[in-house]
Amino acid sequence: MRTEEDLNDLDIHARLRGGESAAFEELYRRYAGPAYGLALRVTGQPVLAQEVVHDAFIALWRAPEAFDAARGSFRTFFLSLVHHRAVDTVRREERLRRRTDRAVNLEPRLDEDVGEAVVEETWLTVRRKEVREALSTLPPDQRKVLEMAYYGGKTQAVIAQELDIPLGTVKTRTLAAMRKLRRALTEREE
Amino acid sequence: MTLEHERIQELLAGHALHSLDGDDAREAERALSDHVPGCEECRQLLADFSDVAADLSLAEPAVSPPEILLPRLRREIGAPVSRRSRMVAVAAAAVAVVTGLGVWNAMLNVRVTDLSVERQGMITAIQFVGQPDVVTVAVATELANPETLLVGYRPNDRSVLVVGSEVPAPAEGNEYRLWIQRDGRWEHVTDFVPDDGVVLVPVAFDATACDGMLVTEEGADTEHTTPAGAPRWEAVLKNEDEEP
Repeated sequence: MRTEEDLNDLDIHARLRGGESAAFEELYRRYAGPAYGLALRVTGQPVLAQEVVHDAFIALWRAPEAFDAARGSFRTFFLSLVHHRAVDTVRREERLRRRTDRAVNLEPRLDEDVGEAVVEETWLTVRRKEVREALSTLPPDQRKVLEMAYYGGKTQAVIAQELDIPLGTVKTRTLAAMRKLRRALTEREE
Repeated sequence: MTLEHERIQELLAGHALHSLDGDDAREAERALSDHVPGCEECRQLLADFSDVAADLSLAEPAVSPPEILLPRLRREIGAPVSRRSRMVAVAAAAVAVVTGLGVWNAMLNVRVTDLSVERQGMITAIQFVGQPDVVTVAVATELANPETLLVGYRPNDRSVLVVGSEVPAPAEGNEYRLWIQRDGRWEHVTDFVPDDGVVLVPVAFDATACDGMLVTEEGADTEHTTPAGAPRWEAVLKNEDEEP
């Protein structure tokens, strides 16, 4: 079921496909904050987070046709793009670090300006509350594997290793967590 | 629910979180191409899990990006675009979209009648690698940007596309040579030279029957039956543990 925000996004995207830069700036205004917040959480580095968000918006501008409304909402498409880029960046940095044997500080650099919280649209605030409430209903072990995967950018194999649990257990908990969230978030939309 | 179905749904959950690798990632790709398109339940589940993953991003507080970012984007999208810049940008977008979304089904509905032949070729490339049954492999390199080259192929088919952006030109007099490895032996497939950094090379071989792929830089007027030049990119196409 499409929300009003989803429909607004479709309108803006249609104008973006026509090459309208004002539409690009509207999408930037709506999604730069969530995108950067996510990229920052996953990469832990403002410079990397900025590059992730930059690349995602440039990819959107250069190939707006890549979003197909029949496949889902623009929000899902774009934030998935950002998440994937952020995770790939983290994994690439980890490979480079191992390869060159340099210590790369993957923790947030506290002396850098990590940006301010945005004044965001109401629908974002409402949805954040719903998602956080849904997350709080997960059993701790399911929430842990989910957060390590999504926000930590870790593969299931790495999660199994770090938690010292079988890979099969990670898979089972991941599926259970996603099913619970799916149910909880769907109920909240209705 | 059958065990197989449960297994597929496990893979879809991991796929939506971008947390699969190795055998699981390959198995998920196969499920996405072989099972999901024909299963309403799994198609809906994939869509729902994708929505859940996007919602997880909203659980984090939104943070203003650095002020420099928007002016930088404005400059990049607003600057007059030369043919070379346009081709590199479109190719880079294709690479960014594909690598950013894995095998996101990015079927496009683009009317190409009014576009240049070059752009039409790139749109076709995006459409090809975006299809759900096409597997994409990033080709490892020592270059600073590891995502310069991608290989897209349809399993058990002979449709393969090598696509790249900002690919450096080989040294003068050289060209890039694409090799595939089968049963421990190398076979020469084709040669190519980037066109202003852009690579768009359709080739025909069954990638699922290959162990690996290698791109070397070699003299344009040389002929070798095995790779002889400096390796530039390589990709593993088959897990060593897989049954032959």
